This record gives sequence, C-alpha cells and structure tokens, in this order.
Amino acid sequence: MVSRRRSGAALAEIEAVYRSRFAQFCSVAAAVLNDRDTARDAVQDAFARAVRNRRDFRGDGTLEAWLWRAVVNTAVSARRKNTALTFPDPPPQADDDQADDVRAAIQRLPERQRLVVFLRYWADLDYAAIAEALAIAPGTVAAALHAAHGSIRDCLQEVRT
Amino acid sequence: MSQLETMIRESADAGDWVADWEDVLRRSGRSRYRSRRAAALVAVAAVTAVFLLPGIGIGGGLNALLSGSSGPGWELRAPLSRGGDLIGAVSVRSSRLFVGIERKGGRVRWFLPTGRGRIPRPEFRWTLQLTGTATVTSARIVRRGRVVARLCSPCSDGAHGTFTTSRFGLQTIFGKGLVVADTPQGRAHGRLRLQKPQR
Repeated sequence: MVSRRRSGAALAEIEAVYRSRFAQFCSVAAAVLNDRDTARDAVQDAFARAVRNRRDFRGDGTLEAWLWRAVVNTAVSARRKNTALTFPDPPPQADDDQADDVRAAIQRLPERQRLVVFLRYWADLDYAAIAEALAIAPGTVAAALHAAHGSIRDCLQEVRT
Repeated sequence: MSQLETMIRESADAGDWVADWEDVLRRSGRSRYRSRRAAALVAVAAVTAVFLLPGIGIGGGLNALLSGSSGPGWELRAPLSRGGDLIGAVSVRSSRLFVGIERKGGRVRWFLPTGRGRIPRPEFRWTLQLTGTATVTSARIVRRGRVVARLCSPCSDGAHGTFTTSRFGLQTIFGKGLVVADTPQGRAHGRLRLQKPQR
C-alpha cells in the first residue's frame, strides 16, 4: 500500500505502482478500449500526465487509486474520441469457452457497471479505491456491482440455454 | 467468493504486457527536465571548481581567504638569527594600513585611511615564533638605537600582542626596522621585510 502524502507524489512512488500493476492497468484499459495497442498507449499517456501533475496529488486517498482514476479517465476519453473503437456488440459465442462468455457478458454491461467490474475483479481494488477512481460514492460501487452480477448471471444463463 | 466472482476474475486478459517507464518519462517531458538539471549541475560544479580549486583562476586566493590559512593582506617578517643560527621569527601585521610596493626599486609605500577628525595611530599585531628549544628573555623593535615598540619580556614561543606607533615608528617598521631579541646565549637580530602576498 502506498503511503498517503499531504501534497504531491514522489516520482519513485508513481514508478513503483506503474511497475507492480502495469499488467492490470493495461488489462482494464484494453477492456475499456477493446484494443491492446491503444490500451497500452492510454496507460503510458495516463502515467505521463500523472508524472507531470504529480504535485496535484493531495493525498486524500491512496496514490494507486489516484493513478487508476487517471488511467480509467484516459481510456474512456480515448474511446469516446475514436469512434472506430466504439464497443461492438459481442459476437455470438459458438464454443463453450467460459472466459469468453464472461467477457462477452461484461461487455454488454452499462459503462459504469463495466468499469466497476473491471476495477473490482481485474484490478483487485476495494470499494473505497473504486469509488475514488471513478469519483462516485462507495454505496454506488456496491449497487453497481450488485446490478452487474445480476446482468452477467442472466447473460450467462441465456448463452448456455 | 462466489463462483460468478471467480469466473469474472479468471476472464481477465492476462496478456504479456511489457512496461516501459522510460517511455512514460519521455512522454511527460521528464527527460528534458533531467537533462536541464544535469546541465545546471555541471555548470555549478564548474563554477565551484574555478572558485575553490587551488591553481585555477582565483581559486587559490579565494581558498586562502575562506580558510584563513595564510591570511589575507600583507605581513612583515623578521627572521631572528644569533651567530648565524636561526632561532625564530617575528611577524607584524595591521589591517589599518594600505601598503603598495613600487614596481621599480621595490620601495614600500604605506597609506593611512583619511577621514574627518584625528587619524588614530595604527595598531599592529605581532607574533613571535621560536624554533626548537630557543628561549628569548625580551624582544623589541628599534631604529637607530631608539626603541620603537617593546614586544615582550620574557617571551615564549607563540607569544603575541599589539602595539601602536607614531609616524617615526611607521617609517621604522616599513624601513627595514630591526628586531632585537635577548637570549641567555646572546643577542639575536632580524630585519622586518614585507612578505609578498600569497596569490
């Protein structure tokens, strides 16, 4: 856990989070953007911006949550700017690959629920960190997860029947 | 953890992502800052070297001034010899006088600071250094048989003090005045000579 600071974040701290969580950052960005190269680019840009603006980190939450917010915002902005990357409807699943079914079910979720699922299960963040990363209340995180679980369960049942 | 949650976790894209922190720094413009900082550090190091390293530019003089090892300003020094043996030396300094040396002939000229009112008699600091086991019972500065300043009696190695003198005394001190030191083995003499400033 990265310690809290009153103002500013040290470059070394940002680098430590980057190196230890790079795969998760890229996975979530790829899920948002549906494109690996663009996702990696978004993560690099998000961290570059975080390095430039590291003095803006006020230590209200964890540094990691602050960085997650930067990555998610950058990825979402990139997806909105590039219409070619608009989330396509998931193709019908012909095989019984469970992971693909789950990914397809997640992609059908509304954006907020999708992001909450990514951050909860792929990035392994707790409710408080997710709330901070998405700038929503912790109660909203719980509600969004609950709704996402229901939607994913329904979708999986629909695919298998 | 429910089965659904496990399934969601396992659906994560576990691709082989390769981190590149240098790329992040380049994108942030950090590399330029680093090179600017490096250039600034090199400049500071160069200036420090010029100022402080002896033998480069003003380094020697400034170093001496800061460390105080040789002391700024001028110094008169009289090696004391008795029968050809060096028994010590007397050094004289003052911060109340300006001293100039003529380029031709090496004549020493001294200047008193001017100002309103009476000019105070300049004060000199003297120091006696003795070599080995030499002892001195008394020491003084004389000119033509007249005592200009009494330094010490008895005297020990490292003895020091101050004295003031008249215009006549100034002429003596800068006119190769004679330092006389009495020792149990006889009298030692030495002439005050201006030492070249350390540069």
